[in-house]
Amino acid sequence: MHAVSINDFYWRYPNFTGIKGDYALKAISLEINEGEFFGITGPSGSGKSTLCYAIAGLIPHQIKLPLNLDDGIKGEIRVLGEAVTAIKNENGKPAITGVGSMSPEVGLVMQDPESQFLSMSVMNEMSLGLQMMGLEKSEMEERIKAAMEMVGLGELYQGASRIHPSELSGGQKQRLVIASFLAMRPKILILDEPTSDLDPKGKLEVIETIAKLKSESKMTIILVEHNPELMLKFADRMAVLYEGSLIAVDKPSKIYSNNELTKKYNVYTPEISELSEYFSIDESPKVTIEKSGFSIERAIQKHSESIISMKGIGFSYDDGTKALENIDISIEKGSLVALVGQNGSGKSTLSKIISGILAPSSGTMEIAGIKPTNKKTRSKLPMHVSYVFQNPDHQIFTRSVTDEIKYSLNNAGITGTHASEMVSGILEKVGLSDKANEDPVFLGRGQKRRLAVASSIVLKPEILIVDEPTTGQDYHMSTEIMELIKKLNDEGVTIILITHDMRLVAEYCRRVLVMSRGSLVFDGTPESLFMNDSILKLSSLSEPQSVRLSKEMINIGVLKEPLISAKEWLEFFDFMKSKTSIAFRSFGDIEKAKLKILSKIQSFGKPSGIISIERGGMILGSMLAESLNCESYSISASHYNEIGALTKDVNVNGIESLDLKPKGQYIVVDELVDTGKTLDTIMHTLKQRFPDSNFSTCTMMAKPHSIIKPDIIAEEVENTTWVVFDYEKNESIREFKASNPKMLKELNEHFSTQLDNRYAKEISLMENAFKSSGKNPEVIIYENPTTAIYARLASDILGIKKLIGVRNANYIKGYGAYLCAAIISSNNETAEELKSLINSKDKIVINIGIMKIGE
Amino acid sequence: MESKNQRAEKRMVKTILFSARSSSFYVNMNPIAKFALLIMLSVGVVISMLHAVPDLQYNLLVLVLAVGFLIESGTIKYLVKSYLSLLLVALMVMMVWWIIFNQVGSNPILSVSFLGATLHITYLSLYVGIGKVSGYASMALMTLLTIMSTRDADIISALNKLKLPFKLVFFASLIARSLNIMADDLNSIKQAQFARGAGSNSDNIFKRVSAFMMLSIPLTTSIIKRSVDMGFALESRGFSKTKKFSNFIDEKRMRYSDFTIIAFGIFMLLLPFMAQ
Repeated sequence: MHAVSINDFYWRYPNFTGIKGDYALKAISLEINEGEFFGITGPSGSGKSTLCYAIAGLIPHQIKLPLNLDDGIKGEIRVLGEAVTAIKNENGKPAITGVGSMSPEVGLVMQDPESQFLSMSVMNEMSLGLQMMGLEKSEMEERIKAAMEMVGLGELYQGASRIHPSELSGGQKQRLVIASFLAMRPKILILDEPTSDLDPKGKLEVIETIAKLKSESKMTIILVEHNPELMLKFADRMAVLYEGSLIAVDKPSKIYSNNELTKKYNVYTPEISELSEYFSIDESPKVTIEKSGFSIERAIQKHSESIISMKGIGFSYDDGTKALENIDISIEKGSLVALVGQNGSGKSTLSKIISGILAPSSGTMEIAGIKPTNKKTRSKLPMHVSYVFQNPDHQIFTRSVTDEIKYSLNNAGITGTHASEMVSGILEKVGLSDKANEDPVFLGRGQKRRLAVASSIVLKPEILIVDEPTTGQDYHMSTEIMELIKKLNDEGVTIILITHDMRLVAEYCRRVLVMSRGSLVFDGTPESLFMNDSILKLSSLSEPQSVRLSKEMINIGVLKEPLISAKEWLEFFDFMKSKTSIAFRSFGDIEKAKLKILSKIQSFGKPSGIISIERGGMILGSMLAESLNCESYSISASHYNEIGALTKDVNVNGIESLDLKPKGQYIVVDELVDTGKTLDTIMHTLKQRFPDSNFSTCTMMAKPHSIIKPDIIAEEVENTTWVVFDYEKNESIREFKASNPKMLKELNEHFSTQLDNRYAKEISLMENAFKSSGKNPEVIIYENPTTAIYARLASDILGIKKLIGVRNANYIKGYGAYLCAAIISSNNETAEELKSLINSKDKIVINIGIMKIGE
Repeated sequence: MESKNQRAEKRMVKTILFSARSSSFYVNMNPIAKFALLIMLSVGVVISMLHAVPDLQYNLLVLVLAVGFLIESGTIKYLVKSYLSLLLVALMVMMVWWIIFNQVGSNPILSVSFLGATLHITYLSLYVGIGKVSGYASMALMTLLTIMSTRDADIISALNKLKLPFKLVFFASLIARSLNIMADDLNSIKQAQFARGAGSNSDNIFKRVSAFMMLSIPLTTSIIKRSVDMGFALESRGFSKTKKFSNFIDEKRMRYSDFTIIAFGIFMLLLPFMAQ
């Protein structure tokens, strides 16, 4: 049985005018499985909330206006097998049937927790649904306690009768609403944008609750969200709605990877989507990110006269709450400053003081040349400072768009033709000219927001304060509003942007003020804030995805400073593309390098063994081991873990299996040393593990920016040079196909004209063998050093990066099981021995001695 | 939103209007006792004023009690900021009016002639005027005190204690909750209006009235949106399908102190009779 089954459902809202509006939901057919975590996303006005109300049985059953049953509603909705809404023919006329509200089986948590509280104490709020279920008092108490503990509000249970819901923080309020439904033990819980009105801390609290629900309950959860990170983290499947139609239903990773779909249907995507050419949706890089001398050029804050100057500002509310304490701020004219911090941190109070709405309890200030010392001077501030409130509904005072703008002008004494001209001009600027005569109440949320901005800027204020301009808006609307704000700033208006969205801060602001508990705790650039973990923690802020990626790259030595937005990352990749050149190296070049290295090794004496670093050092290492007639070992190291995800640290594998002689002299061999972090980590690990042995480093090539200078180097190459060997033809083509078409062309030309074909026959044999086997090996196990070259070639053919070199059969012990392994050996005997020891379901054996391939 | 710690620091609880000190004796009094005291004191004051010469001492005693409780409950500052100026003006006007239209007593302190008529202010008329005004002031302050110091949840609890039907009690609570939300929205709307260069702060009375009228549009929009949301929230809990509501409301028990207050109220009610 499906938890929800919707069959060709149509719904049109009735209205007082009798004029037919568009369908809010069109031809929706959808099935949600029991126990599934299902996401719904889409731009504002796409029908997400309407769909939730329809599933909960509120639409159409609770709509009290007369419905047009002929074409206002069609189709059927079944929840837990029961028809919630269906259209039936009764005496030749359509009639709505179905059970309607499915309470208590279905719970609905809406966007604004404040509107959902129906009682005035936490305890009564929790008990209300249970009272309606007619439960006994003892059972109610038990359920309330369990539900409050489930959402992390257990500590409030004792005093719950004395706590008014409005005394809770935003996150606590929303968790209380969730708990009040959980107590009713629903089988389906619908969460309609539960985090959109919350501050970062509140969001985090609700997200943790959702995570707990997902892991600990068997409930079907339907989550409506704009936030792609939440969807990726929790949803098993998700749907995209657009203008009332269901556009796609798939796994979140598939939806967000589909750039065409997300752009066309205005879906809010993770920041990483803008970098999809270079990073996967799980943040792992698709390309090798090289260290470079790149440094980002950011706009410098213009130094001009101060327009806001505050000294020792304090503010206390009537009930004694200290909202601000000793605030000193100076803001320069024409700047765009972000004001961030969690709810209750004092940012709104500070903004209201700047705009004259509130008078400070202490301190002095000068705003736009006015020293507001009393009520009269304070009332002059709105002529210089405009404040756009978070809720546009609260600042619409008239019944037409034109009148709304005129309202501001009239208050400033501007009337007549001049006022009309100013109205036309400003409506043109915000793109609302075609709505001039409409009632603002019926505008969309984005349009209302633009109208609010228009009404605020029509008087050409010197300072504009914008409170959460993008909350609950889709990507398109957010961009539109932010571009408008940016344009105003370019025209010289000083902007204070109150926001919780760190992506906005990174993209648009060059100065951030962070408030916490009524104090200013940080004043600086966005990049310095994002790198300051203690301030981020203190103010419950989290860095944008771009910064998170940068931090990883800084940790591995690729970047020196953080790139804070997708735009900056794209600049970085463009720079890399323009600077990088390709150098090709063939087998012949490796042989030449070997001879050079051998001559240098003379000064060290004959080593006890060669340790090759997989995969780069494999070929050179095996050649050196054969020439020196010494033992050959292999280890691997990478920033990527077993599943291919980037990790902060270099992981060294194979070191446990090294059976080195005590006090031996070993040479660690690699093909190219770039940043040097990998080689450095390997050397550190080897020295720790084998303190009695002596290790030297040897590399065919090294770059000057490496943090470690190898003991033996055959050749030095430029930092920006990308070296491509003939044995990595396939993977180079794959990599450049994704990231650099210009270099791809160069690559193709080289491989078609100058490729060293000395292993062409073996490559062809192996290619055919793999193709005909139909198997897909995950690992290549090879006999070291005899088959190292073939293993490296096989790695390129199959695109497998995991290789394990074995000196003897014992070596393979301790390695994990693989579904399918390719075994490369030099003779029948070793092949059979390896085959019997490798713990894999499927095995492909390639015997190089006679180039025999079989299972 | 304030944190739990901030709440603990200020030790205030939200009441129907504004907030009050959570540890206050008067705030924590059972609403039944509180309302009983209000009614008995008010009846006492009315009785004292029925006489030709009101009992000034009694009325002042009630007034002192009201002010004392206002201070003790931490609500006096809200009263000073909101109603006090209005109340004082009203009481002053009432006193002047009473003195003008009730010419009593024979020993004038002051005589004023106006348009051929002479107005006498005597010791008696002043005594009676102060007595009447202090009586009305004490009743008004006691009423405000009761409203400002009582939590809406406590009222609901009291209604429940009185065994009123659940639906009635619930709707009373819903009305209180709606007023609560409306007050918050109104405050935000007034601030938005001020930010647009208009508002009730203007010196011009017509502008102030006009600004007040303009609040109705956003307030109505907000009320409609809130009521739709509240309706959905109610229905998603299965309200219209409910056949039987079980009782859970946390009933606030009457304590000894509440009975003591009622006893004190009875004493205060009887006092005017005893004085007579």
